[in-house]
Amino acid sequence: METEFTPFASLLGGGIIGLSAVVLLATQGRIAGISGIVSRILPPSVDKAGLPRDHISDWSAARGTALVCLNWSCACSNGFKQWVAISHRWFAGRVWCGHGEWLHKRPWRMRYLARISAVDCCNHDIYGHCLCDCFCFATCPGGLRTCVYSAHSLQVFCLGWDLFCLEWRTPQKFRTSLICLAHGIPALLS
Amino acid sequence: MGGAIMVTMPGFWLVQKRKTPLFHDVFHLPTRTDFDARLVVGAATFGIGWGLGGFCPGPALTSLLLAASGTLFFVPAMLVGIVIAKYTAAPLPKTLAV
Repeated sequence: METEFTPFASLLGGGIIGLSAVVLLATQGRIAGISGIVSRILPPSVDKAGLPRDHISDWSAARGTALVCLNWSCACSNGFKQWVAISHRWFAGRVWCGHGEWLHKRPWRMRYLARISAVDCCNHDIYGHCLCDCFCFATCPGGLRTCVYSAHSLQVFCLGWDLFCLEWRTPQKFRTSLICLAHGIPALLS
Repeated sequence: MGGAIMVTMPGFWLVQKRKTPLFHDVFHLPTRTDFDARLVVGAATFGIGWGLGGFCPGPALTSLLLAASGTLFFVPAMLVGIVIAKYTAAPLPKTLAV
């Protein structure tokens, strides 16, 4: 397939990809290799493959990648300005989610949160996305609102899967996971 | 690729000055620096697949969301290949927490 030679756009695109790799390393401590990320969410599980058990980070990385992919597809179909607007709201969501992960990773700083488990961390993530959805419904115009809502629904779906994998034996968590999975289905179909 | 390297080289250098990532406890970075047959065969297989399919995994997944026709065959085949590799390969940890 013959493609047009676009040196500046290509350089800018490469720079953005590089920036995303740096952000992933700075926030999650992981290398942005998409085949590795995809590999981690496929069977057999990380335990059976002899890799360190690290569901939350793996899923976070996978979710981040899914969102980057979604953002790129929005960029292709709707133009750069909308992509920037979506990324900015996505970033706000990640900051909130990062806060949830921070609470989970550093319970010693807040003793009353010492009982926070990985599942509660997922819950923080879900609250963050619900908050972002409300914010987006209040501020975004129609088409963009659909894009942002789909992005967050996709993340809530992933979180539901997290919950299901980690705590399916607990009835309350099992119900929550089903609700999250149901919430995300329209995003997967859209 | 040049654009990405120009950002990642100084970016990775700066990030690794930190003891831990912002939202995680450790950096998961490759620790092996040697060449072995597994690395060479794996890289060659990856390249052959890329050449035959015309996609590498990242663009294939993003193109899937745009319903590009080639990816509808390429991505399922890639996922099957990854699962087969995980079931058949020896369970060696590829990264260690540093």
